[in-house]
Amino acid sequence: MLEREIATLEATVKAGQDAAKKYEQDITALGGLMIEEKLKQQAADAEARILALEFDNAARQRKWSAIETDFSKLKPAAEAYKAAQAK
Amino acid sequence: MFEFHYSTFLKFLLLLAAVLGGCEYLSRTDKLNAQLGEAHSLVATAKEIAEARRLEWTQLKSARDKLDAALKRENAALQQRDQLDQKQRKLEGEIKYLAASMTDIVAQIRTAAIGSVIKELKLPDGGSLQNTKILKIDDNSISFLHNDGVANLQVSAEKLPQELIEKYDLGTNGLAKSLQLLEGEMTDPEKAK
Repeated sequence: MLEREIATLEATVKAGQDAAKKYEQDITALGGLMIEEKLKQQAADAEARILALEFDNAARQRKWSAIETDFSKLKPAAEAYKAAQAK
Repeated sequence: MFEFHYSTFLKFLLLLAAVLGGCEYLSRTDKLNAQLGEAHSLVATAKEIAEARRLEWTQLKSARDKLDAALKRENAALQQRDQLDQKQRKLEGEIKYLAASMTDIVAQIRTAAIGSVIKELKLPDGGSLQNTKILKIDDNSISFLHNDGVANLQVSAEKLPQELIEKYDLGTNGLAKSLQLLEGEMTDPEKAK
């Protein structure tokens, strides 16, 4: 009875050790614990760049969409004017 | 005197065996109990270590995932910027070309019209000018010489017939003028706000 219980507990210990080992391998695969702060800093830097890019892109998108809309109205009229004068 | 009896000796042996067996059993049970206690302790330690590693891995993975997601978004924003660059170049080219060609053709038409005569120029207010000769055309008006003198008819004052406004591309809504304004807006940084 006791022996069975001990065997079960030993198996649990082994499973725990295996799990810990697997996590250690995964941590190593991700670059190790030392790079966590570096990753956070890189993510923060990227977020700052994204913010600036998205702000700039949105402003340009608005500007060029407005110009494109105006141009889409002027272009056919201008083409028609030129065609009429060429006759 | 002491008398040796086999049966008594056998009983003694059995008793001794029972006592020794019991001692062995108790000793073994004690050992197993000690092992059990140790195993419980090891289980707790192993679970603690595994949980600590899991937390470390979770935090590291979370940091890595956040960076990956940020880089993906940055890549998308960079692609959008490239698309906007392409759109800008295409539009700039088209608008500049059309503005320049319209400005040229309007200038040619206006130049060619100088000196031409309109026998009767009907005005929007119902009046008319006889034997009008075009003297000058600018963006907002045409100057005429006619039977009664000289007239400078302004687009803004609604004195010019619509036909002439359209023909000579006059006024603030003129096509060449509008295209030039659009060309100016392309380089206007305020427009981007």
